[in-house]
Order: sequence, then C-alpha cells, then structure tokens
Amino acid sequence: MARVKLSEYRAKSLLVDNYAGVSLRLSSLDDDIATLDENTPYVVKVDQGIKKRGKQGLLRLNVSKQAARAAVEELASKGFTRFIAEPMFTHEENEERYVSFERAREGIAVQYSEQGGVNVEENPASVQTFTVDTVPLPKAFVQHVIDVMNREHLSFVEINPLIVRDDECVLLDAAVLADSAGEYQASWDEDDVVEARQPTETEAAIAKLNQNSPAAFSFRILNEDGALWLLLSGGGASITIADEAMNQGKSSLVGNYGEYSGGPSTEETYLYTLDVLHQALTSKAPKKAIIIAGGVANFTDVKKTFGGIIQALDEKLGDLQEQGIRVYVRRGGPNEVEGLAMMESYLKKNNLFGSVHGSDIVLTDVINEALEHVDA
Amino acid sequence: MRNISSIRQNPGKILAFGNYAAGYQTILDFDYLCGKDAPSIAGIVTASAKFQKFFWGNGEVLIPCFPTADKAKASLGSVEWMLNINSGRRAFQSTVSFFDAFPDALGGHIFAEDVPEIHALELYERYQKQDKTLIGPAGVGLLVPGALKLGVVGGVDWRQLEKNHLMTAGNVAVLSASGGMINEIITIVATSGHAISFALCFGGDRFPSTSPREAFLAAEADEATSHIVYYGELGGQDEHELVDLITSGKVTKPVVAYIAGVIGEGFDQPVQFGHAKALANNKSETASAKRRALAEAGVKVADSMTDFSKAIKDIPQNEKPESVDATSLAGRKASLFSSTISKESSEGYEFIGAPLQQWADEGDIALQITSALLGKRPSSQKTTEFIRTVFLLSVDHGPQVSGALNTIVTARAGKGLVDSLAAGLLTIGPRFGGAVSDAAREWFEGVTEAKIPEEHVESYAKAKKYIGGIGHKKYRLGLPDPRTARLADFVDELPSHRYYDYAKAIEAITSSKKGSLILNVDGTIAALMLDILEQEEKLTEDELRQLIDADFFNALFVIPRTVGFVAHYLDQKRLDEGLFRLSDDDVHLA
Repeated sequence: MARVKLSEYRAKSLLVDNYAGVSLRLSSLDDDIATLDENTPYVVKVDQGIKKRGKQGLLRLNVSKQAARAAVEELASKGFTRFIAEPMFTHEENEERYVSFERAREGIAVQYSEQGGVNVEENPASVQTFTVDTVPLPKAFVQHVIDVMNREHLSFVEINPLIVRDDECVLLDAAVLADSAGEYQASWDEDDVVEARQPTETEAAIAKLNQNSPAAFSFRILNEDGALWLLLSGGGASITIADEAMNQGKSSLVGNYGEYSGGPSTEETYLYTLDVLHQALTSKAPKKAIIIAGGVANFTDVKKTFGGIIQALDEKLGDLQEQGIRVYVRRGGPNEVEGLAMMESYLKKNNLFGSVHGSDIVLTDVINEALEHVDA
Repeated sequence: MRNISSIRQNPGKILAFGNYAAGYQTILDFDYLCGKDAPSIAGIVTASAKFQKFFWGNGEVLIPCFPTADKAKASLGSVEWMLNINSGRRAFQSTVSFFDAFPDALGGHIFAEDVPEIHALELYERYQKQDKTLIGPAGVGLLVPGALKLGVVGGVDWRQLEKNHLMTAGNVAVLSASGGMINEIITIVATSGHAISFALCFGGDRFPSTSPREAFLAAEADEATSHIVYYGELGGQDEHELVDLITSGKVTKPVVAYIAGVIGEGFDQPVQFGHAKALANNKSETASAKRRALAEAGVKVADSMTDFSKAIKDIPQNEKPESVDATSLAGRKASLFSSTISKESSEGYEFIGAPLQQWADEGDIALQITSALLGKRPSSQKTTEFIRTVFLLSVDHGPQVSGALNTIVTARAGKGLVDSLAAGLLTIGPRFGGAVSDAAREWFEGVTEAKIPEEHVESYAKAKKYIGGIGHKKYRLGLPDPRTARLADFVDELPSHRYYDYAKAIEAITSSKKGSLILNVDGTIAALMLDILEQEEKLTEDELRQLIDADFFNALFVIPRTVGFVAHYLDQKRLDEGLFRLSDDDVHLA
C-alpha cells in the first residue's frame, strides 16, 4: 500500500549485475563473514536505511575479513542489526555524481547533479531535473535502471555517489523505495524492508496482523508514556482526530497513531485492541484515556467491530480499572445505534465511561473531552 | 472526466466484478429509492453462481452472474460503468477485460487499496487519458444523488441513504481523498440542511486515475454545483495544482477545505499515515504548507474539524431536499429460494406466466409441457410439434424393456401406483432410456469443438467406448427404425441443422463398420432437439451446454415413458397374475 525502503544490499543486488557486496546480519554473522574474500579490503556500513552514515560514524573503511567481526560488533553496539560489506573502491571526490529516478504520473522523473556525494544537499542548485532521455548518463545504464524499476516495482531509486568511467557506472550508495503493493510480483520480500528505527513489540505484532488480513491495521508509537491512546478507524478520520491534539497544543500527550479500516472481523478487532491496550497500560502517564473514534463508516460494521473491542477491554478490565483509565467514544456507520448502545452500557457498568457519541457531534470533540480528563 | 450533469440525465448500467453483497445491495436500494424501474447493476462477474439474489424494495430480484466480462457482453449488450471489487492483485486484469469487452463504456471505480503503482499508472494511460472516467484505485467511488451510486460512498445501509437525503440532488459537491471522511462530510452537509450535488472520493493512493484536479474541474463544469467542500491530506502536490486552477480562474466556485495531517509535523522523521500518499517528503507536501497555499488562493481553509463543520453550515442554504420515505425497506426478509415456474395469484394458480384456466382453454398438453421444460413459452410452434412427436413415439417400447419389467414386477408384488412407477423410473440410466442426454453431449461437443467425425469415432474405438445415440439391438442398415424415419421429417423444416448433420456423419462411419451401428432414436431426438433449440428458440451455445449439464434431454424420455409405466402398472392390476418369480432354469447358479 505504501512505499517501503529496501536494504542497500537488496537494492544493489537488484540494480547491479554480479554484485560483489555481502549482507552481514547479527543473526547469522559467522556464516556471512565466511563468504568474504581473504585478500579484499572492505567498507562495512550499517544497512538500515539511514542517511549520512559517514557523518554519523556508521561506516568503517578498509576492513579485512579478519577484522570484519570487530567492526560489525562495534557498529552493533549502537543498536543496529543489519550491515553490508563491499569491496573498497578508490576514486576522487570530484568524480561523485548524484542521480535519482522517481515514478511520477507522466513517467519517470530524473534528478541529476555533477556535484554528488555527501555535499549534494549543500549544492541544491546543482541538482537539475531531466527525463530518462535527456539525463547525461550512459544510455544502457539508464535503461537498465528503468527496466529493474518496472520489473521489481521500485518507485524511487537514488544513487549517491555514482561514479561514471566511460560506459561503466559504479553505485557507491543506493537508496530504493519499493511499492509494497507490488511485492507479490517482485523478487524482493518483506525481509528486505528496513526501518531506521526498530519497530516495538506492539508495532511488529500489528504489522503482522495487517499482513494476514484483508482489512488494514496500522500502529506507531509516538510517545511511550503518552496519556491519550488512540483506537481509530479510517485512514482519513484517524489523521483528522490526531490533528485535533496538535490544534490544542497537546500533541506531546498522544501516545500513538494508528487505525483500523476495511471492514475487519470481530476477532481481528479484538486482537488489534488488545495490542493497543497493552501499550496504553504500560505508559507511565499519571492519567490516561483511550479514544475509540472514527467518522461515519461507509461499510465497516460498528456493532461487529465494537464487539471485538469490548471483548479486549473485558480481558484487561482489572488493569484498566486499577489505573483509572477512561474511555471516550465517537463513531457512526452501519449498525451505529446498536453498537453505540452496547458500548455505552458496557463502559458504564464497568466504570470506564468517559463519553459515548454518535455522528451528532463533531468528529474531533471527543479529543477535547479526553483532554479534560488527562490534562486537568 | 465525464460531465456530472450528463450522468445525472443518463446514469447508465453497471457491471460489477467480485462478490460484495452488502455493497451491491445499497446500490439497488439507492436505485429503488430514486424511483428507477430496474436495478442499475446489470450483472456481476464472478465464478461462484449463475444468479445472485438481492432485495428490490420489499421484493427480490435476481442479478445474472458471468464468469468473464466477455460472457457478460454476449448476454447484456452494453453497460456504461464498471464497479471493481476485486483484490489489488486482480484489479488490473479484470479492468482491462472490462474495457476490452465494453470499449464504449464511460468508466468505472476500482475499490482495492493495494493496486501496484505500475498498474495504476498503466490504467491511467490506457483509459483516463482516452476520456474514460476511472475512479480509484482505492477510495469509495462516485455518488450522483438521484442518478448513480458507483461504490460504497454514502454507506452500505439504506438508513444512511435515507438520513442523508442521497436520493435528491443539491448544490454542494463533496470531494475527498478519504473514503471514511467523505461519508463524515456528507453527513455534516446533510444534517446542516444542505444536499449534495455529487460526491467523489478519488482515494488516498499515490496515483488515482481521476485526480483531485479533474474532480475540481468536474465540479466547476457541473451546473447543479454551487459550492465545493474538499478534504485533502498531507503528501503529494495535488493541492498546489488546485491552487493553480483557482488562481488561473479555471475554478471559480467557492471552496471550503480541510487538509489533514498537521500532526505529522511534530516528528523528526516523516511519518507514513494510513493512506499510501499520506507522507510528506518535503515542506511543500506538509498539511500546513498546503493549507497556507489554498488560503492565499482564496479558499476557506478550516484549521479544525469544528471550524470545518461551521464553514459547511455557513454555506447558503438552497431549498430543503425532499425526504424519501424508505421505511418500507425496514424488516424485509430474504426468501429461502427462488422460482420462476409458478405462483399463486388473485386469479388462482399461475403456471409459466398464465393462469391454469387459460392453459385449459388452449387445450394443448404438449404446449404446456414444452413451456414447462423451457421455463417459458416456446417461440416457435415447431418446438412444440417436435416434442409432441417425441412423446407420441416414446410412450412405450414393450413390456420386455428393463423399466417396464421392473414396474410390472413391483405391481405384481402388491405395491401401489407410486411405488411401481418409481421402480420403473429408477431403472432409467446410462444403459436404459438415459442415453438422450449422453447423445446430446456427443453432438454438441462434436459441433462446438469442431471435431472431425473420423477422429471422434476413432478415439472412441481406441478407448473401447460406445458413442451415445449410436447402435440398436434390432434395427440396422437396410432395416431402418420407423421411429427415426418419422422424426427425420423435421429435418426439412429447419433452416439449418448442424447437430443432425454431425450425427449423420458419425453414423455414416460407424454403420459402414458394422450395420447395427446406426443413429438410433435417442441419438436422433438429441440431435434434432439441439437444432430446434438453436434455430427456433435461439438458444446460445452456453444455454445449450447448461441444458445438457442439467440432464434436460432425458426429460424427453422420462415424461412420455411415465405414461407407459403407469399403463403397465394398471394393466397388471387388471390381469392380477400374482407374485412374479423366476423359475430355476432362468438363473444360472455359477
């Protein structure tokens, strides 16, 4: 559904024929190092989609096979798990070019600069827009990149620095965004996707739920000790509701962003809610609220999804009551009346009630009601 | 994109792809409440059934299903819109198959949210640029009150349609990136005393075929629209394109907008929100930058949903939309099965479209049975004539044959009419009386698969199998069966008879090998029935195949022979010879 970042190792494996780099993973370090060549000096880099690794000290130059383990372990001590080793390639700084290819509505847009390398951002004017046909790079190379982009569902390819010697192009660094919707036709997979930060346990659990369901689930921690925990439905409504906390100058109180949509089943909603509640219960905020909100759904059944939410609330009821957590609800859509009535009676009976509204109040008012509770 | 007022005048029909009963039902509810005389969904492309049943108002209606768009085309002729509920992986192929089959269609909506970018762009190139209106991938589609509901926009529950007055056109266009928010906004518009002119959700994908820009131009061109309400999100450059439209005077109608996603600006790293496009790659793609640009162009930009609601309420009100009474839809109940054969009516019992008294007045049992077999009155008298002749020739072929014998044995064992008849009927099968359907399949497959008769015969000889409809115990070359000769009189009355010709070509080969391998009465009935159904009743090959699969052709034997079995039963009761038992020398004890 969205664009995802591939590891540098996978990006180059796709773009370069007979690619000589080696992927080094903490989980399989001995086996990975064994494939390195005795006589080749390597550059070892963190491979988790982080930019400006040189400036941040996330790469080691001239590393021999014998020294590889020490280099990786040192970098791993900063909290990383994926690395890449490539044969050293000597060149002059003035050889470094910048090029990027991005899929756009009217074709592939190309950005190119003669002044590539780490300083390209300081020379933004040197980066100019070209088409596939006009960019001053070897035609065969450009065509190859386009072919790979189309075959592998790549949406964005950035090569910086790129070294061009006659017809030969050497990719010193490459960042690739792939279209996750095309994964089923591509040779890369979920394991090649990197994130600059490690997903938390809850984030990983919900990502997995999302993968195995026709409905959509997302969850991202914004503040582990947040006071407002959001159980939102709908891609648009969820942003709009989160915006309201920003409007009130209280975005620091928001614990998470996330949403469920696309008509999930009662069981899926139960599992999702359990994960969100777990995260809410571990927050150290003194007063907490759970906001169950969404717009007027087109097709997601309010009664069915609320059934799953109540099941999860019930499982954590003791902890929720002990921490004095209040639940605030605003929702509309199919079976709205039945769903809201069921939720209201459950919350009141179990002393969790903050408020319950249908589509008769503005979507975001529920945030303000919750803020009164947590930020009094 | 397609002009909205032309859709309002002539909404057209929809071909749906995929199974989504609740979504399709609200489209029918919408059509019904709009006062249309038939559902806008003309057919459904799905592998799973021949028909799907939906409510039409308080009653029910069957919508035909087709395995492919081509088959739908052959049966439906033209449709104007595609509604594609297939998954993201199947959306591309099925959309292409739709426009290949219906090149004159106006457009469609793709519901799936995970269509690959490459596919979305290819669809944009192929169709949107060729004047089709393709909405999505993703989003919830297009709603033109009183005319067209193409997608789940506006809800899947008729109560939502009723509450938001979606059957009567107003003057506020609602355009949205989000499927959930469009319904939220429709509700705000409706509950503040306005009505919508149309609602279009282009979706939150990166490359929707119909872009926000095109949606705005459609709203500008639509005479009924006086105001535009817009919901956008962070990510992409669409709002800057809208600013260009407004500042260059291409969009002049007042716009109220909310751009969601300021929450995304509180973090160091850009955050990917729920929709694929909802990620700000740079400053100009942030919600704040878009809000500023739109406000500078004169758009009323709301900073919060509360302000947004107020701004919508402040839009000058036109006449209050008419309410449509939908309460008749409450409490309706789905039936357990469907029937097209008979019903009770005020005039008594109706059978195949006519009261039984009328059948009695017409006085033709063959016509009634022919209508019963076809499920409708035959178009041609020849069909009835042929079936009448088949019945007259098939009523009984002597007490020696298996079915009659079993009836007789059962009758003599002291059983009643129904038991004895059942014993005879249950004998009918592949070796006795049940060969008409087998023969029909032989001739049908031979003709439609353009088999060469020599090869057909050869393949059966190799497999040591009999060909259905060929061969007789008594009659042979030089000693023709008088029944087949009588049936052959029908050949000359048909303008063309390709099944009969094929059967005769097979007979020419088999009878030259062995004189008894002639086209028998079953094979002749099967061949001529196929020709008559095709020539006189205009059945398609698909319809003929369905009849073969349903064992239709054996009915031509079962019905008359029932009379024969009853005759034998009554005869035995009259003669009353007592229990039948074989003598010992009738049985070889091996």
